[in-house]
Amino acid sequence: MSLYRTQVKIVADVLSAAMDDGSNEGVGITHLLRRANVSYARMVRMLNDLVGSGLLEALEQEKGNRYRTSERGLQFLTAYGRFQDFAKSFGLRL
Amino acid sequence: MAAQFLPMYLLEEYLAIVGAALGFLIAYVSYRGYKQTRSPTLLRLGAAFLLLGISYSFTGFHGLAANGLLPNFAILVGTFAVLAYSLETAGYFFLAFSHMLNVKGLKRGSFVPLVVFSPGAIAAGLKSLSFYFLLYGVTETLLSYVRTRNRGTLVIAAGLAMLATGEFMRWIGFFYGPASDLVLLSVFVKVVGLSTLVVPIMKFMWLGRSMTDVVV
Repeated sequence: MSLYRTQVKIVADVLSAAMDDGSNEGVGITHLLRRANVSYARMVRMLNDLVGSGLLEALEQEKGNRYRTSERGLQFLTAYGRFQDFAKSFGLRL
Repeated sequence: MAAQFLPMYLLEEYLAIVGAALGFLIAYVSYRGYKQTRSPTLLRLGAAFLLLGISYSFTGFHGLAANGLLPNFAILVGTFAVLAYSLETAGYFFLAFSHMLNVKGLKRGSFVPLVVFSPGAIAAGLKSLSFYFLLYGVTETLLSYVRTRNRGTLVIAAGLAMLATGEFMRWIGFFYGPASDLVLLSVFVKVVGLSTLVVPIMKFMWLGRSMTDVVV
């Protein structure tokens, strides 16, 4: 029996992946694709949405954009962790 | 002295009031979670417990009206019962539905409800249906525990199982009269079952309060 990965879980995975680099310079799209396990087309759509909603920051560079989890994104991840535990108690997943 | 204020024959009504408060509390926390994470799972959980909370409120009203403590509402006893059971069924449906959506690749056709409706009794039919949903919820929560080994999940599964057991004992208790030991025991089992639902709330409160609302 396999389990679906929900949209909220995928968003959390992308935001977590964007925090991976401690240098504060953000991470590239290849890193996000590999860590979050999402197709390229879907990742591009998600990145636009996440940057638009302020959860990710896009850092423009010569070789292309790099992405960093914003303060708002960190708050989302904290909330996600807390409510994940809450839902897990009822045998559910976010 | 306490017995004067809390007559034993109204024990179920008190339980319903506690259940309503608990239902509303879980619904509130779930809704807050939905606002912060936009997770549909939390929205469904909130809807389930909001409906259960309202259902418990109607159950309390029904009991009080049936016992003559709300004379103005005596004529609405039947309506309260049907409303309470309808909302309870809807609440347990949402709970079971959340579990259904969490799993893929399982042929849900094998879970066709094996429900026997009492002829002509809508309330009894709804009770049967909500009992089925409750059992489904217990099974899925137990399966979730097997997957995650999360102790909190096991506590909730045990609590839901006790609610189902209490409900079942109450049915059997009707054969022995409304004041039988079995009915009282069923109320006790339901109280213990409901108490376990406080655990995730306590855990949630314990983990921290200060969080800013985030909208995705």
